Amino acid sequence: MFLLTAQNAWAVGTPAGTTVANTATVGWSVGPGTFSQSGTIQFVVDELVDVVVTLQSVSPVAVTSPDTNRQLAFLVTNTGNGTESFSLLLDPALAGDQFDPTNARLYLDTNGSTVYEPGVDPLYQPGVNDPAIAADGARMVFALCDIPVSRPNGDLGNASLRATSQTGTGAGTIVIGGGMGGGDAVIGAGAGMSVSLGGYLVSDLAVSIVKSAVVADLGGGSTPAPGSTISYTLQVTVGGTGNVANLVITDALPPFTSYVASSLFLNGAPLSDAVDADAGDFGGTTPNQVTVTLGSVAGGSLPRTVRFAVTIN
Amino acid sequence: MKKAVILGLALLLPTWTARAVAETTGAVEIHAIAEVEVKVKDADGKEQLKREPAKKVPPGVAVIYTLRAENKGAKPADDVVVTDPIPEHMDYVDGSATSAGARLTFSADGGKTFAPKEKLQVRGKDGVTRDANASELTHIRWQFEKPLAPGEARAVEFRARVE
Repeated sequence: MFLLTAQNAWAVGTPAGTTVANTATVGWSVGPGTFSQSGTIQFVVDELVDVVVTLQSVSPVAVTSPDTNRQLAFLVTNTGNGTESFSLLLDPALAGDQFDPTNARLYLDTNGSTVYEPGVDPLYQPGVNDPAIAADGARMVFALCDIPVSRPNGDLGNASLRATSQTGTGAGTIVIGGGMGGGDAVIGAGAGMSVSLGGYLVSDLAVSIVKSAVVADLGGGSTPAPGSTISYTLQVTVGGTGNVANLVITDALPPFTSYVASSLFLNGAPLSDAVDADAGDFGGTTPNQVTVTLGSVAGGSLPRTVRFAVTIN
Repeated sequence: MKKAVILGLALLLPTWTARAVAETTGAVEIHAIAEVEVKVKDADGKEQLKREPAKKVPPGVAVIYTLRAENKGAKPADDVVVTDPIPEHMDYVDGSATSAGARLTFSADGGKTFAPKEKLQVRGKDGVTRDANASELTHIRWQFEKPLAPGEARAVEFRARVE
């Protein structure tokens, strides 16, 4: 067994099968004459087999019950130094969750996209189209599952993807002659396999926005006319169970209006107009548009209020 | 088939040339050995490190190079210098070169200049000159302090890790 050090985690190594030659030279003198002589020794670089599976989706994915063809995306990365084929196993029957996703299938990405494309990305069939991945290359794999009926809000169903090297498993195992390019294959610190977990969360989360406007004209009335100010209020409510991730509210200005500087407020607190540390901006993220980032918002939490004003040109 | 025969000749040629030179000058020969350390269990079940010839080596593993210079001539060889470029795809393991009986220097510029490791400087990508890292070394050189007597052999050693 080779002494595998932590440095074996390098994603990019010398390609398997490379011949590394070392030539030493000796020089000397005898009387006035100088001479030199060299000697060479070489070895072949073995294939180091390692793989890493990482979940690419935001997990858990919010689903309804029942639901069909809900996607989890995984990236299978060959962190070894030779081309390697991997067996894939999608396992929806895991312990520690409330339900098992059903009808679990895997599709292999064919064109570098991040979503499953029906009719383009083929169904994975073990032993038939096991993905061969070049050294330091990666392949996107889509897991599609259905969600069973009658699961209450908050129930979680997990599924894991395991990729296993077809050359061998077990850290430090040497497969004689099994390496790409004539060397041996050495199974790396990751044992030639990797597992990543994704989940489906039953949720009735829904985001609603109610927009209202108050007009103030120059004469103290409420007539919309050139010079009048319109104050808009957006009330954002998240209903249901769980969390909405990365909630961003955007609102484009109506035609023939101009934004009133420093008029942007979130829950009564002012936000600067520039793109900076606070949650909102006008025109910076998108021209002529108000952008307020609310981030992760829990279902059933208090409504968020966004306010800004425009004048009519 | 023809291709394979030609390839075989190409590999053999340098060896013949080296032998021919050694016979005419009748003096120092250098022999390079590459080994790896492997763990073996002794009779008591304890793990021991044992050196084995390096034929096939995976990335991340250090190879031990032993360079043995032997004077096969009838006269002492003076000013004996052993030079070894760090092979491509390998990084020198810092502090691994032996230096007993020799002045040990390194190069970080492809063998143009040599200096002790602690005095070796390189210019970084930012244009600032700094101490060279072990992985930036390109050559190792041993200058033997004493002449090599007829029949005498001396070995130096260093380690380099497969990238």
